[in-house]
Amino acid sequence: MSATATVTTEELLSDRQREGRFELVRGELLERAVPNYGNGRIAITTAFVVGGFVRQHGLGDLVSESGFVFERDPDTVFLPDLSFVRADRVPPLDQQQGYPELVPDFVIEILAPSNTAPETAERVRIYLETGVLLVWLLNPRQRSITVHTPDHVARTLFEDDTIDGGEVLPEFAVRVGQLFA
Amino acid sequence: MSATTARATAPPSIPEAEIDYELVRGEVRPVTPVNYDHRRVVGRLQVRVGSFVEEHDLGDVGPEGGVVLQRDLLTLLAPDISFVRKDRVPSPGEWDGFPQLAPDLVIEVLSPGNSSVEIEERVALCLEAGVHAVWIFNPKRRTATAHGPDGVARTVRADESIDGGDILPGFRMVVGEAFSEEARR
Repeated sequence: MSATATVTTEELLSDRQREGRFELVRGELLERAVPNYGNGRIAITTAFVVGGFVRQHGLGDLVSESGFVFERDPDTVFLPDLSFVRADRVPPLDQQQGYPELVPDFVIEILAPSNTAPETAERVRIYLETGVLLVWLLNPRQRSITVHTPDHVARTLFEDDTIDGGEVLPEFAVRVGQLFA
Repeated sequence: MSATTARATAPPSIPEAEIDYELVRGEVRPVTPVNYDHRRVVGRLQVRVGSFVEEHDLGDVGPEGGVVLQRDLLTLLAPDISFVRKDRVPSPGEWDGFPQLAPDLVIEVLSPGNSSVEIEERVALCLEAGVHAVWIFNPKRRTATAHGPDGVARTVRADESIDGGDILPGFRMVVGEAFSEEARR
């Protein structure tokens, strides 16, 4: 996290150099690494599998690297690798041009080599405390997914395990390895 | 922390010298010196867990003890703190080296530079090898996460307690007591 003066969502969105590449943690700019090839591939595979299910059942939107305002004054803006928003919470079209003030129901992040454990823990904490119901952290190196829920319990699943969508995506289930294939 | 690509050749041999690196499936991973606060937190945990273990004569507790978790593709880790139950303590003949042994409890304190991927891998390696519990203390967040063999991890806050469960029956500690008040941001 690089410390600079406090930045607002509006300032971030009006800065073409930073829009889409920076996040805000309580007004502090945080540069988001461009995904490497392997992570990009996993993101697409996951989007295909999870997004396919979401679309098939008309459950809402699965969006990629889209910005959301999680907190205000000071602002926290994250651009999760993938975010799911339930159908009845999808923002109106005019808000879809910017970063909606909305907490996604389900967030998927693919861990990059540069993500530090303290920063990742802080990110997950903010997700869960602002109302995200389900967080998946995909670990490309060991092909595992750690599932975080608001009860502060995390469960790690490996290639041959089956992961489900919990209460957020009931009936969704896939073998973990399939997302890394 | 990026790992070098050097690989120990088979059959892997364990270096005699004092280690300043670890091995993960034959891959050399340098161990970076820890910052001052990390050292303080490890010190406090060592005292708390160590005195409990000593008082109840439960086994051995120590810092940075090198243990071989896996021999075919050599995995040698030196956890910040590890506890070995009395009946599993290696014979004195093995004390000069790195015994093949999964400690019963491993305690790690996070440093600011630890990568998420590597910490997750470390936890998985320990649990796979038979470690019963891995506790990760996070000084920045002032939390502790207890990982169990079922792949479930529970995070407790500074004002909550972590307990020793089946491994250290009767051990209980308020998580915040591990952290330095002065280091609060």
